[in-house]
Amino acid sequence: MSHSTKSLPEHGHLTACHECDLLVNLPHERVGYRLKCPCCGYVIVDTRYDALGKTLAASLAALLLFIPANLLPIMAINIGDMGQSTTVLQGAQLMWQAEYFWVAFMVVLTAFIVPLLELSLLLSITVLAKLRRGMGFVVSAVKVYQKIRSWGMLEVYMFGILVSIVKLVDLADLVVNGGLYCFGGLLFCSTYAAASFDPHEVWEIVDETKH
Amino acid sequence: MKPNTDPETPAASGRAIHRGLVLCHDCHKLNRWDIKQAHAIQRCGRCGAKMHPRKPNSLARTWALSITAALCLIPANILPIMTIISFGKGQSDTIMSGVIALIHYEMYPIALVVFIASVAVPVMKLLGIWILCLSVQFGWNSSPRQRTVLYRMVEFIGKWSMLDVFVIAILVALVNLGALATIEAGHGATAFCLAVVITIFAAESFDSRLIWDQEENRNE
Repeated sequence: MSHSTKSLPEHGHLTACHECDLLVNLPHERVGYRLKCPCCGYVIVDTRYDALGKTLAASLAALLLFIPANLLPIMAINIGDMGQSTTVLQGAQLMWQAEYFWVAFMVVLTAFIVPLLELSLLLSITVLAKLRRGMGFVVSAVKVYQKIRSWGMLEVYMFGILVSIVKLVDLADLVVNGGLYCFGGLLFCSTYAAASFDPHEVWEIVDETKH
Repeated sequence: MKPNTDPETPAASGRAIHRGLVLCHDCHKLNRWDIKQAHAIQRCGRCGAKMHPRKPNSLARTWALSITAALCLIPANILPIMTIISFGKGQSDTIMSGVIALIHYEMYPIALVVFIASVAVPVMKLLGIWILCLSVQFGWNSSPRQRTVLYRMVEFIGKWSMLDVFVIAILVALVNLGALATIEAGHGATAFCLAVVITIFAAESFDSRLIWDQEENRNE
């Protein structure tokens, strides 16, 4: 193991709570264990059976759904004989053309780029961790993932779609397209991938392979 | 399952900082912190990230960002966020007038959702951040556990204020029917989006461990 672990033999099974800095013992049995901080209640460790496999499957499914969810129109509107349909990117593109650059940028970032990046990172992390290869990349991928994850806002966007439907339903004929169902599936799979991902398991594999 | 299952080394053995240990922010590994080189850059033994016992200048940064966000909320609420142009006639909506219009059309549940997401959440979030900052700065004697819950809520609700921004982006793209009906965005949307983003940064820069540090100093 790395030199810092050697210099800290007595702290091998200790960790500190992320939110209140309390020192806590890590359990030896690691599957199906949920450790809450006795001081502030923060969930420090939550390991499930084959968390890596679950994250891998869910992020792969979400990535596949990402394609139709963003290519197919989410919904369409008809007033008289005129019609218009939209996707996430078209919405942002029109904002950009209207010179609302900042709003357009944030929509693309939070509803397209960050979710796509998150899912690709999760998939590559879990695949490489399973294969026990490319640990240098895994280390930076987990770090990037943890930094960007608060900027993925697919679920808020989904709510935005629902609010728009309610706002428009009296004014015009609304057609819900296949894109919306793909978007719903994408939301489900990506939430499941993020919830089942356990960075502690990955860091343990990183330590093992360095050894 | 109860924590602290190993009786030989009790779990509640103090805070990491008192034993010269620092949790790496990136990979959650406990590292030894060399107090003699407190001003030098110390890196995590596992992932190589720069370590800080506490987030640097946490209070000052949180104050600065949250006050900026509060200032952004002023134009966000005064300027129109979108304009509906129908048969050549335009009608501008601010955040509040949009909510009032929804109430007017008797769409109460959706009015409540929009009100919570675009008015209540941004205001409550800033108030929550300020309560946390004030309590740490002036050593208020309230329960640290309650304040930790407040911190978690502030972190959780942050992104939901983006709802209105997304709704505008969707409506602008959908209702683009030339002379018949068009929806255009307004500059209030830019200010509002900016306020949401800065508030998220403000919540991120606050270090929840400060709440507990202060509790410990009082007990000593």
